[in-house]
Amino acid sequence: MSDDAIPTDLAERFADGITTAADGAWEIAVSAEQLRETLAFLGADRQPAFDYLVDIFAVDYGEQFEVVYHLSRPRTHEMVRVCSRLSRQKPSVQTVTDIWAGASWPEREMMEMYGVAVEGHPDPRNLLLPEGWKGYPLRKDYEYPDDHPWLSRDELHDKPGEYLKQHPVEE
Amino acid sequence: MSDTYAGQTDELLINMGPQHPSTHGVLRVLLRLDGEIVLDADPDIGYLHSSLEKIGEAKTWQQFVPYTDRFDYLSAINNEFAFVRAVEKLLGVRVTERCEYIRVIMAELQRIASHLMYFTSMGLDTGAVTVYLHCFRDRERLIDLFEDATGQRLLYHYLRIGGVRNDLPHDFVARVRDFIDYFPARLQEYDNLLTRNRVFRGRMEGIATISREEAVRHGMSGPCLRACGVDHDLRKIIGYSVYPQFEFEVPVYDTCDAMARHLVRCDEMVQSLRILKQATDKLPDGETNVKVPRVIKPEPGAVYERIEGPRGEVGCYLISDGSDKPLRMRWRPPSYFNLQPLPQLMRGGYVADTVVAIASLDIMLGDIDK
Repeated sequence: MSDDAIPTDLAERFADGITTAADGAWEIAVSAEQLRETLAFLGADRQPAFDYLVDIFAVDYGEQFEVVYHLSRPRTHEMVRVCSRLSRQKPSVQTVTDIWAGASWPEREMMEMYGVAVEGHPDPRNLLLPEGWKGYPLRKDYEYPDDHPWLSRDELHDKPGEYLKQHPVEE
Repeated sequence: MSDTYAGQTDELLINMGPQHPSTHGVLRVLLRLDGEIVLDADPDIGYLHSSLEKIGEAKTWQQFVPYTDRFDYLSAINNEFAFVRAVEKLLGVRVTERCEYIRVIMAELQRIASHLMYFTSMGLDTGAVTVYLHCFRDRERLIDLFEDATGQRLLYHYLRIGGVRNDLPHDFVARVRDFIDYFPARLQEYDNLLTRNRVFRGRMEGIATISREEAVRHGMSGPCLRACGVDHDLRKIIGYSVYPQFEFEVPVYDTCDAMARHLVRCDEMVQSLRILKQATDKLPDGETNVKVPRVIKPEPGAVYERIEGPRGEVGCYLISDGSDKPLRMRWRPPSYFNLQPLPQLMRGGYVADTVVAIASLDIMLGDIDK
């Protein structure tokens, strides 16, 4: 990670909004409205652009969600972390697949795991979960399904003592 | 009758996988074919999804270490490396010099083992079945080393927060040196069997190309990126652990095709031997572990740790809220981003090249599906 000083163009543009995190990444906290513009600047307009997409994911903080974008440049150890807090009621971001083609899958994962809507995504299907999965698994308030056709809870494995009492093994 | 249908072709939608000997795990690729030419490919993943990120929020910091093995199960040490370093950063703990050396030795042995596995599957997928037996003969030597040091052949749970599980056996270094002497001749053998084989080269050269710009925008890393001419290896760029103390080169090729990825991996094995030689020569004595509290409760904060695994950049983002379990455990798998441009690699090629495309990326479904 970069222990170097924040580059002047980023310091000018973001002023107090950019800090150096504990692990050396340059952390930029933006509001949901400025998110797309910030990412477009970092990934396309800025020279040299942060064109290496490291990761995109969300975090559930309880009252709010946060989407985090990790960007870097190849052959350097510079890393930018763009964070944006979203409301829990209707979390929504715009896609960045036009800037980084590799954003497609992480955004799909964010949509299915957290229920964060990604506007403009070219292929908004579930990525890891089967089609039609109810609920958003990585949310803190996710309830595990009781009535899934092939993944239902199993009394024998969940509560073996009770199950065995009700179904005693015959001698 | 035959004139009525002359020149008319239909597109064929065919399923490849998820049970398939050449998809490197449970990967399903929906292929749209026009005869033998691939018009489009749609990878469908998630068959191995084990909700490990959710489990990461339910287990304590130490309890999660064995789970990290299971992400990229052919290079378990590198996964543990990323996670354990991230937790140590959160705690502000510095491990001993001996521990760092042991970790690097294990990581490089693991890199060779992983690349040998790649060789195996590359050979199998292109039809060279004998290579499998040759590679596994040598992989067994490495696995024996791991078994003696860690007790396990594949999923070690060896790297721990604050150190390693136990010190190396007394004859370990001597046996690693034996391996370093023994292996270059085997590499020559693999060169003759596979890399210089005319049939193999015909199947690999010019196949499954992706441009440098697209590879970077997709977040590809590791040998896939270094085959596109991008000199990006985190061991050199970040220089984590004790890698800056070793002299080694980073092989880079620029033809962006499957053959380039193959050559990068061949050369990486040679460079790993160099690192191993230097590491075993300079291995310091001393303690391997530092004291770490029994119940780990890092200060609230977040850290992203990246290391260079055999398949690319392995990343672990941990958020601590001061409790004994992570608030968020995000795994950044290399194979996930390497697999994404698969449609581009396959489009316009033949059906037979689909297998080569997947094999040349050297993906690991455990990583992709988390």
